[in-house]
Amino acid sequence: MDPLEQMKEQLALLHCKLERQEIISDRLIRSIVHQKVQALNREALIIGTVSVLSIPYCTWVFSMLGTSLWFSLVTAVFLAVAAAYTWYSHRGLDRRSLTVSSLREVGQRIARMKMLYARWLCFSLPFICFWLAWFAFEIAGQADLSAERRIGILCGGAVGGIVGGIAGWMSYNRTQRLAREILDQVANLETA
Amino acid sequence: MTEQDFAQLVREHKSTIYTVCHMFAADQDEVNDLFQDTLVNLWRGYDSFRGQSKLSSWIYRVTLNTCISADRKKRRAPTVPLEMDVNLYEDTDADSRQIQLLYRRIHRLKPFDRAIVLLWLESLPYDEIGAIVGISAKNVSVRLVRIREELKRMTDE
Repeated sequence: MDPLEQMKEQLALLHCKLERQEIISDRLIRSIVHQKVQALNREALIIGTVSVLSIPYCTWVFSMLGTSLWFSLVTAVFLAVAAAYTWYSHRGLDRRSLTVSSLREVGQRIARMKMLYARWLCFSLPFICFWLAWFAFEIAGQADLSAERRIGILCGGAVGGIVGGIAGWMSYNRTQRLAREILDQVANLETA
Repeated sequence: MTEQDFAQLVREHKSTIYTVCHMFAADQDEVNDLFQDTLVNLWRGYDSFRGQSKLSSWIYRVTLNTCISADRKKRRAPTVPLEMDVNLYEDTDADSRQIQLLYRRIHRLKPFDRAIVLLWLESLPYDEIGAIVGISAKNVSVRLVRIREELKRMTDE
């Protein structure tokens, strides 16, 4: 018999044997989960970095515009709290912690992060609305600025607020979606 | 691609992937490493799959590339838990003995010839085999003649 034809029959036996097997690949699931968690962490790093860098920038810009000290102070505190809260939300999701944690623990931390993000949204959205109104009030009260300049700053602030709001909303949705996917993945593995 | 889609894809092609890994590995641990690495590479590479070839051809290509370049990775990879509850090296039933004979034959071939013969055994047409391993269909046919002769010599020995 032709060896290749014989090998074809042997291969069919091998396939038959393998088709009966189930695959549970913990390492694969881990790899997928880790990639997604890294994407979440990248997002958090960007948010944290932008928040921290915005503190001196905003303080400088507001001092140039002549807004009140309280306004600059509240803005700086908000940005600092945003950066700290982001770091707090991602606690236990760094690469080293993930390596030594079970997927169940990773799932719990992701669920915690997801919940903290949702809570932050409940606080930050009304705060940003209040902040924009306060900003408009501060600019409108600047007697040193011409009417055109005031309108220009207010329009710039409005555009910045809308663009920032859309970017923030997209970032929030992306984070929630990734977190949901990770939780589904961990749940699938647990029920496998 | 969602994880569910990927899991379905793996379920459909697990036998093919595992067979290639088995034929390139020296022991059960290495099969598991290759199998895991292949699944990870398939997951990571799926976004770059443009649908220019058949999905099965792409899976073969990724699996063969993973197995052929495994020597380099093998030194770094830690041991991993079993993925399939089967040990094709140690099972002693009649089917397993036939599979071990197949393994010994294929394993005596050079890695490139191993890839070609595996694809031929999976009944892939010459042009598809050529597209996967990067040679012409005519070249595949010539190589298969040589492989057949080599296998016959092995049988005679």
